[in-house]
Amino acid sequence: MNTLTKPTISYPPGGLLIWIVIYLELFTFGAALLALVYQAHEAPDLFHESRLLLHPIYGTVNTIFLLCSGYFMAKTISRIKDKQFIKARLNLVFTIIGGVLFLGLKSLEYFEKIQEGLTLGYNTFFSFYWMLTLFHVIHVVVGLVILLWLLATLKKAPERLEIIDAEASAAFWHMCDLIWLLLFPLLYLIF
Amino acid sequence: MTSRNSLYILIALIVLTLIAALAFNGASALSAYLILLIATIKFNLVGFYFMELKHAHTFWKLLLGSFSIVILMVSVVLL
Repeated sequence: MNTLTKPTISYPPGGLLIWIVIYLELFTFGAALLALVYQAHEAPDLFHESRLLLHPIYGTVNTIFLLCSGYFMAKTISRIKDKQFIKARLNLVFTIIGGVLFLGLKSLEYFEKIQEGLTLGYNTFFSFYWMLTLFHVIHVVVGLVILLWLLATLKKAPERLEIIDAEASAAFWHMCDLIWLLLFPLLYLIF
Repeated sequence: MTSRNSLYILIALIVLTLIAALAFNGASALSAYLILLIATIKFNLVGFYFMELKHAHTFWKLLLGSFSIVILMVSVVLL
């Protein structure tokens, strides 16, 4: 009997454990974002003036980098399932490039903000900005390390790669997308 | 998901991002609600299509969908 053809509650893509991690991360970020919105409600002028000090173009381009990276990640998994490992590797390289571009642009933005004196203790808005985005960047870096491991496995011994490991790696990477999709509007656009 | 479908999803996500960034960039309440709505749609598109949650058990779909809707609703109430 093939038990994997029918979805069960214990088998989301990538397995149960990675989804517990994903939901814990989402709830953590969600609570922090709601705290941000609450603080903005308390001091709307401060948050509006501070938000205008960020460049939405950076946030927009970084969103597109992560979305494209997520698209190539989905294609990578599709190719692995089809056992087209060379195409999977190519798509995974594009995925990693998207993540590296995200980090590059984020670094440029951080550099500019530090040069302008808009650091962690500047005001409440920038405390949230630095804490939330740095926490997200840590996830992106960890995600890239996981993707590099996946790339090395695809290169050296693709036949030994378990699909659940590849799916779990992809799920972690997509989680970085999900978190950013909530951070971007709340930090760069709304207030 | 077919390669063509995933490309359509990517295009939709990019278009929604550009709409949120360009058309509704402002401090009005209506803009804020629309930006949050767009973010919720994008969040679910990534979750259901790129993460392939649409093939998973309803429990996981409901958990992700309800999470994004709770964030949306509470944010709207607080704004």
